[in-house]
Amino acid sequence: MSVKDYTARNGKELVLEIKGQFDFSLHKPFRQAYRGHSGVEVYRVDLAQAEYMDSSALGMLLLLREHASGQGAKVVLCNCQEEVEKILRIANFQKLFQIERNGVEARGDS
Amino acid sequence: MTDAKAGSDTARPGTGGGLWRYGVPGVVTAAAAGGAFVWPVAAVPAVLVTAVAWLLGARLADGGQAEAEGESLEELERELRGLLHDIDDSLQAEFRTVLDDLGQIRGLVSDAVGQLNDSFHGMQAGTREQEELANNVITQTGGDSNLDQFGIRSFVQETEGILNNYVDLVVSMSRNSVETVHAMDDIATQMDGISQLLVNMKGIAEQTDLLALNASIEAARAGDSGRGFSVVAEEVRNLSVQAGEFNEKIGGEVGRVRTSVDKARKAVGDMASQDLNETLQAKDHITDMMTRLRQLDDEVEQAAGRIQQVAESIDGHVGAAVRSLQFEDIVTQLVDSSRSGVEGLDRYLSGLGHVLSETADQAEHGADYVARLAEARRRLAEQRDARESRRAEARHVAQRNMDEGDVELF
Repeated sequence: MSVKDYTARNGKELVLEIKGQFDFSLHKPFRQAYRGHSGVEVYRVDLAQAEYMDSSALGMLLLLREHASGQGAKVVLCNCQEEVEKILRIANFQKLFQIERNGVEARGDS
Repeated sequence: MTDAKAGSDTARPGTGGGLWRYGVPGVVTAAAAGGAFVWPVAAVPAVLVTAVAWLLGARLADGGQAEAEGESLEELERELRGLLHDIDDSLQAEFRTVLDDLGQIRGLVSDAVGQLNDSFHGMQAGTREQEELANNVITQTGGDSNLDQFGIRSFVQETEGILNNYVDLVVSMSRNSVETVHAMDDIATQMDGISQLLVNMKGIAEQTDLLALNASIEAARAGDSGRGFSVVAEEVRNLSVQAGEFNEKIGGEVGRVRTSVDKARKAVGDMASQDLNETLQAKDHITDMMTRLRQLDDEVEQAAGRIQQVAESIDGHVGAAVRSLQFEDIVTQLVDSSRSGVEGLDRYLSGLGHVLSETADQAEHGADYVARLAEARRRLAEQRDARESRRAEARHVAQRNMDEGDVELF
């Protein structure tokens, strides 16, 4: 379980890589990873290595979204595994976030 | 027939040889052929009778030509008449059997057709009911109305709505919890700042204590003049000790608050961490259930459609069968025609027998006898022509009925 953050595109994109279980234990490092960056336009949460996600992860993503929208930035969730994407869909997160699967935008109605 | 006529024309008067050779056997042949045509069973006796007639005719004629004694001629005539009577008797017996059989066939066909008609009626009623039932099923399953009818759709929709609300609730609670925990983290950080400040204050108190101690020592060295200052220095030292105690108490309180915040943080964290997999499974289950219900609905509708098609096809077959049952009419007409044919033949033979017996009674011989037989033949030929034209008319009517072939339940 870890959060690794790095900037891309001259600091305009901040990538947050989630590894292992995306649960409450990550609430502190996750917030720390996105706080204190200025001039970021896109927060990209890379979930390629996230095996599991509980409701606290959804809460954290919502708080990130609020933080980003306060800066006029957007949040992209990318490379979700199937189970994780199901959780995102059941919470209707596809209406709140741009969800990309393997770099391609995946839009669903359900 | 023309041969027989020619034979009788060339026969010498008084002898009657041509009559015996050609006339009588000709009549017998015609009668036998008629019998065989109407009733094939009679073919064998007919052939036999014909052969005997021709043989006897030839012998009688030979006898006449040889101008044998009148006694032997009379004997031959007697024998011939006897033979014709026997033929008449056996043919009449055959005709009775044929008539009985035809009557039985007529009855059997009529009964069987009646029963078949009833069966087909029953079948038609059955297929109509089946068709209506299938139609009802189709109407009920049309669209998704039966899902609505049993409230399944609204139940599924309600359940889906409840699940969605639950998920929304959990997500929003988690968001608030995480936010609260973030605030608590901030409080903990601030508590750490307070603790740091308290450490600084503790240092100040210790330094004050040290300064007060130095002041007391300096006051003691000054003697009487420093006595008052010694009291002040002692008071300052007491105050610094008190400040130190307060500092420790505050540190203790801050530590307890920190512990409480940590506890609350854990509780809120537990609240925030809900496993959504069960909800996910429930939602998948509901979706599956709906899909299967729709499939079932479609299958029932398709099956009902097939039943309807089958019922329609059975109906068509029954209609064709009922149409075919009109053969009864035609068979009856044919049987009737055969009967009248047999009856006509019977009359023909009776007429022949009558002529023979009359000639025997009146003991006519020679030219009278020939004329009498020629007259009888002419009348019988007229009767036969009349019968044949009636039969041809009947056949024509039967054929026309068959061609029309209307669906008619009789």
